[in-house]
Amino acid sequence: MQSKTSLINKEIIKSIFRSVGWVSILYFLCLIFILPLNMFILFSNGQGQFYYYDNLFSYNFFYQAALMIGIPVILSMFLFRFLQVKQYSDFIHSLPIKRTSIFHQYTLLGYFILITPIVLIAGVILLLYSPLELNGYFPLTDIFEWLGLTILFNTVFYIAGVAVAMISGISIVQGVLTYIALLLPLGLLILISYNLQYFLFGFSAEYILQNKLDFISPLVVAAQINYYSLSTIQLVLYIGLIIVLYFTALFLYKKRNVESVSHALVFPILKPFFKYGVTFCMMLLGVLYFGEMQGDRTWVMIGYIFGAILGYLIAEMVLQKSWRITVHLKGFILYCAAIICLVVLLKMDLMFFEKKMPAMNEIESVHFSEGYYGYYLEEDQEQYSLKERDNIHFVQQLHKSILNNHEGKRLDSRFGDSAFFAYKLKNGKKVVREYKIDKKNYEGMYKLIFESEEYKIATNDIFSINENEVSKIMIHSNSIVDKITSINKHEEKLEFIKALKQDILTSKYEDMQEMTNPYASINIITDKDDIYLDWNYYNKEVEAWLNNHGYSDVRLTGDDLDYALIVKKDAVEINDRQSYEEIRDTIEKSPNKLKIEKTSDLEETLVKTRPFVDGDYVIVYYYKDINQVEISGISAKDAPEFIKNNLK
Amino acid sequence: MMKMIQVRKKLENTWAVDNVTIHVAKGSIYGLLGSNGAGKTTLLKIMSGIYLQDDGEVIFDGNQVFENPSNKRRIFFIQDSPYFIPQYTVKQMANFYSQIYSRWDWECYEALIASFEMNTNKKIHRFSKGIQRQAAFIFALSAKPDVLILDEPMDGLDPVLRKKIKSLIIDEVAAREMTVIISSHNLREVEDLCDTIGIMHKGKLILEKDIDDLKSDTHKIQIAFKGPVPPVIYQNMKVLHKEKRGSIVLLIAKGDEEEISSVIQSYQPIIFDLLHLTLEEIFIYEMEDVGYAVKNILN
Repeated sequence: MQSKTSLINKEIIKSIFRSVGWVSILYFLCLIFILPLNMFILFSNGQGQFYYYDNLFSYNFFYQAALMIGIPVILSMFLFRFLQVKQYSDFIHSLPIKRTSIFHQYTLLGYFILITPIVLIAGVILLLYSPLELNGYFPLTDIFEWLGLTILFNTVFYIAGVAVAMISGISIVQGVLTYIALLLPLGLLILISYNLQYFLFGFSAEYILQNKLDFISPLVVAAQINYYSLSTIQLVLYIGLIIVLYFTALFLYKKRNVESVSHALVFPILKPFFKYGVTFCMMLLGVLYFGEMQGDRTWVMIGYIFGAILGYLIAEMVLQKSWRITVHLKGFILYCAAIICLVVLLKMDLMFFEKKMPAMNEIESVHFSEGYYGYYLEEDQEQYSLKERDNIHFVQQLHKSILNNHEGKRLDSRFGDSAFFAYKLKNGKKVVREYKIDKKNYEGMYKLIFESEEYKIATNDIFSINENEVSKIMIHSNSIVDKITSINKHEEKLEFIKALKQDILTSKYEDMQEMTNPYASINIITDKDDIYLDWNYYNKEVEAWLNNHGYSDVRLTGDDLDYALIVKKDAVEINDRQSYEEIRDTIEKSPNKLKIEKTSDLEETLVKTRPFVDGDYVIVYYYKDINQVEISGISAKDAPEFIKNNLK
Repeated sequence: MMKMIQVRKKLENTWAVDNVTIHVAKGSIYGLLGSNGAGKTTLLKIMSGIYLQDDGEVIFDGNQVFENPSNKRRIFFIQDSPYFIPQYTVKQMANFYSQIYSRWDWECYEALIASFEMNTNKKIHRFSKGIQRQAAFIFALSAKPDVLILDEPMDGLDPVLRKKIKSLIIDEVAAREMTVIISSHNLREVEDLCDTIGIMHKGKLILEKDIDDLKSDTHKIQIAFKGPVPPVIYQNMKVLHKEKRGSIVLLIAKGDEEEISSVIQSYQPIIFDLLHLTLEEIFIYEMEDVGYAVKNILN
């Protein structure tokens, strides 16, 4: 008799199967179409060799990920319906079964229902493995890797859903809160990082966010599991998380009051956390929206105020389960006061974040670039850094003058240039800062750094290649007139590279900053990888070498052009969203245009040409024999005299 | 048998049950009366071990009820609108209960099914409310509980069925001393069934009485004497209400019937009538000061 109501009850198990068994069947059917059937169709008629994949997630990954993220949470919502429906809840809790027993039976059986289809699918693929000769496409171990990872993420999301079921009394709220909880760690990190940029001068959100922190939100990892490689530590952390969530859920269930059913949150203590949490997140989000859109201080403030109000209202609506709410102003005022205190504390800069600048004798090396992306572009690639004391000194001087200058006091999108500093200290620590500045104000220091030999060698790939491994050098005209040539002789390749290096080492900062269109693009192909460089008008050594060796006609010249029309940009109404044809028509109709036909004039104009949005004059180039035009620009300072004289 | 000692429970910032002490004896039928929102359902859910009280104790057979399966197995609760597992047929539901309640009696179940002529292969949620309630009774009685807790059980039943269910309950109480706790917002519905009545108002138990005592104790007396009424006759009774209509005096009084009548007879009244009151009348006189609660129950 007694054993009938022990841990496992046959009828309870039957009732669970009857209510949520369909989820298992649905998952199984979907996976059948996504994996085995798909493989069968691909491989049975021999088309498979054209199919590219890394692992089993490559097959219809979008659908796999959607199911992996959706199914476990949906299951947890249906499984624990009895917690969210008043009569159902009263019914279950009137039965002579302990809550511990209810929890274990529902959660474990639900889990069994969830993973059975995954295991079965792995079994089906195993069965197909030799008949379809799948070993030609992927190793057997891929199946187990797929099985393990799919089960892992399903488990994480399922257990998260179960744990949230215990704190919520409405199924929809349970579902939404589960996903919020799964996204929150990373989301909050992103929001806080971006917001700190407005308060901590020099804080680099991009740098913080690139430190492979995706894994703190399992949902983000699951959405890219087809190429994400999970480390052992992360794996252990996830398994730990599953165990912790399981027992947390059990604990919460035992504490849960049955009468709280149909409340958004069943534990009153969570309500303020939820309310102010939503307000805080929405406030940060508001800044991200308005701040990134508009960039100046007023819009940032509007973002804060608007976001906080919106967040507070949304939270109240959820808690009061109605959109017609009574607003508790007192709570909001307290919140605002707390936020103002927080901002004041941040601005006091108690950690000396803003002023901190490593001393010369502490610095081992420094990485300096015009933006964060140069720093962490490739994770396995050693980043260049400057070690010469002179250069470290120059970088530090630049850093100091940015700090002393109020211009870039905040990250402001009005300043288009970015200065990124990463000091590597002798004690192994790093100091990383990023500033939005107007580069023109610091030209002197930029010139010193950019023209240093160390910087040039560090930032130009051509100095790192082995000249003897160069298999081919291609030069391409980079215009509508398709001209291409290649340098194949070994001696010539060496000479050409030497000329290129020479030009780079002698190039001036002003030249490097020029935006004019290059003559041609150069592609150096080595056994390992390709390097792309430009042949610019100031590359005198390269030009001389190409001329001497008969390659110079690869670039566009006045001979390739029929004629050109030129107007002052502010005399016509054009913009960069228009097609070349529309711009051409506008310019052709313009009364104040200059026609250039002389080859030497065309030549002179071509040299100074830049993208048209960038110039004071707009030029339409008409080619010989080609029924296409090129729209370019030219700046007033570069414009040849005959243009300036004719267009006033 | 079933004791609640100073039980309190707060729901949505109000005391739904406020310091209630109840003692239900074994084999008795306890009627819990009160208007809507008086806290009856909350009290019954605490008694059934669904809710946990904030304060006080709920003791059944010496042990608490909440989270105590060995006690809960002997208690069966029927909600005001009975709930069944979604999509379940009567048969499936019976199987379910038979695994949960160890004293489940299949013979009793079959007998009840036959007597109510119930189709066991039909999904319960397709039945009308009345039939669903019958089904709930069948399951409850088949589970052979020591305590049956019913929340507004007569709602939505026709008079024939009410009678049938009442007699089933009475039979079960008589046969094996089952204890029944029944809530209602209408006295007339349960007065012929209960032996004890408790009245709840705003979470508090404002009255608890044994019906037999009330009935035998309280009388309506009409008397008239040639002269004035001799004051001695009041010595043996507690007067709840007194009215004079001409020479006739109308009394509602408590006391022993024989003692009262012998004293009055000895003064040779011209008119003397001693009548039994209906429960309704008793309550009206007993509870004049808490009028509102009672009036609602009696309507």
